[in-house]
Amino acid sequence: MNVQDSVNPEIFETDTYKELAAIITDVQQRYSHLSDDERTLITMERVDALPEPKSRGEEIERLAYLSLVEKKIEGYEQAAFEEGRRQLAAEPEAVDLLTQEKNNAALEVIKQAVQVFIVVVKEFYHLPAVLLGMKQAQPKQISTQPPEFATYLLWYLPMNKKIRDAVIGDLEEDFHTVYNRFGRRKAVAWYYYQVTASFWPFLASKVRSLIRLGFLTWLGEMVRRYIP
Amino acid sequence: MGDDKSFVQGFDEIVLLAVLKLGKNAYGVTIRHAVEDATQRATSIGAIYTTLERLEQKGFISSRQGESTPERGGRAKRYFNIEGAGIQALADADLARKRLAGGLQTAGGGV
Repeated sequence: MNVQDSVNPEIFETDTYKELAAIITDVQQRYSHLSDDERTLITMERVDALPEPKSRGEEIERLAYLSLVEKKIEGYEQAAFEEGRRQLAAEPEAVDLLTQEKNNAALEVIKQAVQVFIVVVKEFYHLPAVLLGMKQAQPKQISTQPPEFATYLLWYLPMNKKIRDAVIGDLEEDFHTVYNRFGRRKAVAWYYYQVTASFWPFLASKVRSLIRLGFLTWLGEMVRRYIP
Repeated sequence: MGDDKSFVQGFDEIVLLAVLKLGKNAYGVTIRHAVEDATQRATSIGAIYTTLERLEQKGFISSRQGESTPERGGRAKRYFNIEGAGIQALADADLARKRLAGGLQTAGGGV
């Protein structure tokens, strides 16, 4: 029975297998005049010249494939392949390591996708305001800047432009102080607190003005109506 | 006794005192810090500015545009300066408090 008949054929389609098979075939063809031991030595040198395995799991995988390729090319029987498998079995953590590394790779892909999503949101959440002409497009801000969304909210505070510029400037100045003392997370929390807590005073001030204006209008109407 | 417009009390008085204490360096950030230090309570910048706006309308303080700095994102500061009417209002409020405190001492002394 040939080795190829006793294993999952998909294994012969992997890149690692093909890479190692190419090395061994090449060495066998080029150095057919040398002994088996000499050819093995050259093969191992070529394998060693490959990029370093990134982990112990990859190293074990490479050795397993190497063993498999040698046996397939030389037409070893099932007994020889079983011996190779027994040798691999001496590394019981190999399968676990490989599974764990594959899971980690999948997790890394998910993490990167989430990071890309966050960056996209950070970059474009102010786009509606820019499109509506309420705000000038700004170059990318560095991480020491106040949260852009909170600053965006300040544009909705009912106050005149001079005061708004002073308020935003004051908050930005204080943001840097808090940032340097406590770090970005606390600085951002503090900034959001200031923005949200500032809504009510400005709103209440405007409401008072409107009530006063309404009262004066009503008083003027009464005077006009009852005093000839 | 002055009219309603010359009267100052509560948070308005604290902010006015902060402006008086800070002198030429009275702008949003320093005023907010001074008020927080005095009251030991967190104060929003919105509360400070609406109060300053009200005090300016009453003629207690005046404001002028200051310099802009990089740490403010290039935005100008707005400096506030106390006026004579503001100092008078503070003096009136202080006098009223002293009168009331005198009454309290009298009541306390009788116990």
